[in-house]
Amino acid sequence: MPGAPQIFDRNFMRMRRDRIAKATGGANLPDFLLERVAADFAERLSLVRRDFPVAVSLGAYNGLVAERLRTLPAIGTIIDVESSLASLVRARGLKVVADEEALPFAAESLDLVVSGLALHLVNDLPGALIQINRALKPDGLFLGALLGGETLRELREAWILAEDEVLGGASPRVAPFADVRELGGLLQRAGFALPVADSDLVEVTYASPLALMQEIKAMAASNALTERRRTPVTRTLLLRAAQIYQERFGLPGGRVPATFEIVTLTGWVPHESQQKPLRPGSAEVSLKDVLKPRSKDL
Amino acid sequence: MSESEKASGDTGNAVDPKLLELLVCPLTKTRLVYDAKARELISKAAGLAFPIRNGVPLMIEEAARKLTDDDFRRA
Repeated sequence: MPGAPQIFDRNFMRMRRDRIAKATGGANLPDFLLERVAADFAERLSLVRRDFPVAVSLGAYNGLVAERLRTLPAIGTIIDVESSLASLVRARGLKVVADEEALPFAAESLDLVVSGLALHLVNDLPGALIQINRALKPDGLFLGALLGGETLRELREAWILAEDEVLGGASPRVAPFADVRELGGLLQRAGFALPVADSDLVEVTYASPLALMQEIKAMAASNALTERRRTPVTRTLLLRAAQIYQERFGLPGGRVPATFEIVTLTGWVPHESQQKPLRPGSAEVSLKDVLKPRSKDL
Repeated sequence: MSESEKASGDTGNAVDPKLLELLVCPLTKTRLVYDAKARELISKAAGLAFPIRNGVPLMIEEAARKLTDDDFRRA
């Protein structure tokens, strides 16, 4: 959607992911969060009593999520869809290079769309959800995990304080993540029935704030905001941010915690077999009778 | 690797027929024409030809080729 604010520099993100994937031979790195999401998806899907002949993993990274889900008997074909071709080098199934914001799938062609930790990086999430909804068949399922607003709250705070102190003003360094309360509503507005958004806080510890920043860089997840400061980070600024992080959040023994919030969204494309609220006026018992004080019980 | 790719012996560049059934133009959501010779998926509505690399359709605008008048005449 051309009207949506361009919060993320998507072209920059894709090129950087291509570059990192090439440098590391396609593996998109030891991504413990993605592993966790893949296992969670597998568990959630194993509880759903229906088959999904045609599935898409949207924002597939190195194909890890699809790899995990391919072992489920309910899943037929699963297609990896990723904007960086180099990231997909080792993915083994069907692959398509596409942007999460411009899906190339026909209306009502898919039974399942999963998305592991990619949709918090799109500029137009409502638009992406509407496109997913349109590509799914009636009674199709969307299952997506994205990083929520609590993610890297420690780092966000440390950067703001350090930049303010060293440069006399802050610039955006940690992406604005969506709030879990808003995401459920967003699903509904995109046309999904039975929408659910639940959130899981994962706390990880790192040897030092610098080790955390290194890992984020290795995951190709560092700052891709359009409004990012284009001048390189100075050593003074970096060390001050690390120092503030350590002072404010350091654990006894010297390690530091980092919070990640994984918000999982589920929504179904409406179908007559699904549970629905009753029509107004269809009640068989009068509310007055139900609410009437029952003297016997008192 | 799909059965059809194995059968044709063309493991490098053939696009899986299953994918062809599902794909539409990412910009206009309209039907695509598969040009097997050029290994392109053509969207007349968007005026773009999306390339297929090693069997992977590249369905992003930045990777696509703008259709020329010649392309339209042939199509």
